[in-house]
Amino acid sequence: MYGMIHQALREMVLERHGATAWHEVEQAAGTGPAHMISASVYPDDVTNRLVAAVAQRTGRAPEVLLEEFGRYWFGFAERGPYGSIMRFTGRTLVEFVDNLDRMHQTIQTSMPEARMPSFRVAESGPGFLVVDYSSTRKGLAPLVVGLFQGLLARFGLAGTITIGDAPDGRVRLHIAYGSGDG
Amino acid sequence: MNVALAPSQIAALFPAYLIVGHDGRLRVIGPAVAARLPGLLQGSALTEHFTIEPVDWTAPTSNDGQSVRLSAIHHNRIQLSGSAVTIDDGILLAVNLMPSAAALESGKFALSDFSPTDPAVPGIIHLALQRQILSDAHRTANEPDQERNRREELWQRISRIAGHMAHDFTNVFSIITLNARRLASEGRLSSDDRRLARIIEKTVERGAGATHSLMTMAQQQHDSPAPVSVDRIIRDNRHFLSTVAGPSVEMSFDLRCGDAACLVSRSGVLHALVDLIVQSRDAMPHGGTIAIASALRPGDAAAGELLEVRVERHPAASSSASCEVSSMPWAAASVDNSSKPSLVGVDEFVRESGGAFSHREDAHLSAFHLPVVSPSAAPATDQASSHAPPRADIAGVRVLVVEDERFALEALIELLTGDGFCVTAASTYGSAMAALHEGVYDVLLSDVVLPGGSGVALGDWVSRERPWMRIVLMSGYVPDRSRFGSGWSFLRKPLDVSLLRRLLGGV
Repeated sequence: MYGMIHQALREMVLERHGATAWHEVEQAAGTGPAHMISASVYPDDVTNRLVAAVAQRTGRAPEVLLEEFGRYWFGFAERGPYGSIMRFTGRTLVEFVDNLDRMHQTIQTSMPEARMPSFRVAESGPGFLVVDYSSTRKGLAPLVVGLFQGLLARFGLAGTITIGDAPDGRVRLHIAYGSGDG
Repeated sequence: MNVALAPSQIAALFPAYLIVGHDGRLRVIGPAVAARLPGLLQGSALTEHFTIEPVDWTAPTSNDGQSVRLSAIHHNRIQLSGSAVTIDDGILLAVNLMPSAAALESGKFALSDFSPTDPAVPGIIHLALQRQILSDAHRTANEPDQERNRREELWQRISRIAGHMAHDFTNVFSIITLNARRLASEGRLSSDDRRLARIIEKTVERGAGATHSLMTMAQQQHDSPAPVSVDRIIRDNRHFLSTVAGPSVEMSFDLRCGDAACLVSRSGVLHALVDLIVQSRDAMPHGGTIAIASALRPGDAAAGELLEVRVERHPAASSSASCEVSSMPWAAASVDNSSKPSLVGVDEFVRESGGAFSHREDAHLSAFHLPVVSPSAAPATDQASSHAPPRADIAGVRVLVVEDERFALEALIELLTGDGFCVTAASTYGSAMAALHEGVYDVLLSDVVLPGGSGVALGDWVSRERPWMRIVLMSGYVPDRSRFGSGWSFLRKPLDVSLLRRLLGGV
């Protein structure tokens, strides 16, 4: 995965568990600053080691950690230089998801080794959105659920996300949402 | 071949498109433009809202269309660029938004506003990627600074703790020394008991030397380069350096530079020596000898005379295997090797001081050379910074002793009274001031740190109001001499009793 994922994971651990915890994670995962260059693409094994080490250090199941990390991601990305890309991708939830593939494809021209996931809006209407997700990586459904929770929050929304199967072998996400005010 | 496109299809290709009738009035406004320029109304003249280049844009020269550029008159951030193509009922302006950097920053634009083929989109995203890369580079460049700051902060905290502990130790040592001296002067003690008292004094002297070195190092942040005698620094800290070397290493000193001074920080010299000793010690797991030698060497015409300090190790005889192991730390050590910060630190210190550092592993030898500065630049000596010949008759010399450590004060009173001085005691700044107002004295002997004030403040007052009095300050801390008045003397704790007597007797 690309290094920005690692950066975000580091920030989350630093914010919530402190520098010592992150130091221990790096020791356990065998990683260092060289694995934190945002525009570099690293073997998935490095990311998996980091996730496993954070899960171990924080006492969470990996799938719980992935969902938590997904929720954290958008806030992290928004704060840095990628914030402008986030804003550029869409002004509404539906527009954002609709433009995700295009944004990923454009980024991929700069990082040809990166393997980006795909999100297609299958259906949308007031208070609901159906998204078909696919990725060459397996086992990241909890991360995607967390990402959509974070995305809803980014647009001041809240809702529920359920996972099903799409006809073409993709993963189908059913998102029901409303105002996040309460 | 003609292809008919519905407005929604045109919008998908060119979200910022416009269709203008042959009369020059707007007929259709693409969604990206409509969202940006809500004042744009169908039926209004295009030229009311835009300046257009070229001016003959209404006459496309080919079926491929003609390049056009539109600049919004009332929204100077918005420009459109693309082609003008003649269609049945007018002209299609198949244009894209060309937002300025500022407009992009405003966050009002999104991907949907741009044609899928618009080359601006990769540019915008790649710009953000570049910013991220720059941000990474900036952060990476700052990380060493942040790490250095964290280490500096940690060092300062340790320094403060070490300074406080060293101060307390020197007070304790002072009390032990003074009372051991009292004990030794007891007439009824046997010679064995007097010898034991002397052993106590000598032991305390050694502990005090190590404590003083600790304090000097702890206060390095206040230690700026000054002309100092390197031999004196080594001599004053020889007990401390021996402690650093450990019990299995014997230290030898051959110092031949006398008062020759170099412009260096005291703690810098100490740190360099400690680093070299630690490296030597670690290279000799079976013990041995570390020889420290200083000598003056002629430098080149530009450098002038140089002071050379050599640190040489002589490992104890051991098996060849252990010899090999023992050499490993040195084998890995190189001035250029960042994994050996100690030698790098020595090298940096020496170079910053205008000298040169060399290390010869094969000879088990490290040496640094520092430029010697002129003798006139050398400072006053560390202890008893002003000297006066002792006066034989000290009876009746009136001394105001100010010391907040009860047992030290008690010992000082007894010691000085026994010598014939006329002693008045005070234990706080306030009681000392009261005594100064009430009595007449020849000497103020005061601790620097006092409850309610400081010995320096007392000295200032005495200098101003009782100019005939001699001022002798004493402290376990390394004092800031810049706060002392001229002619003041300073004694480091634990007190050297003979030096104290000499100073007070010189009144």
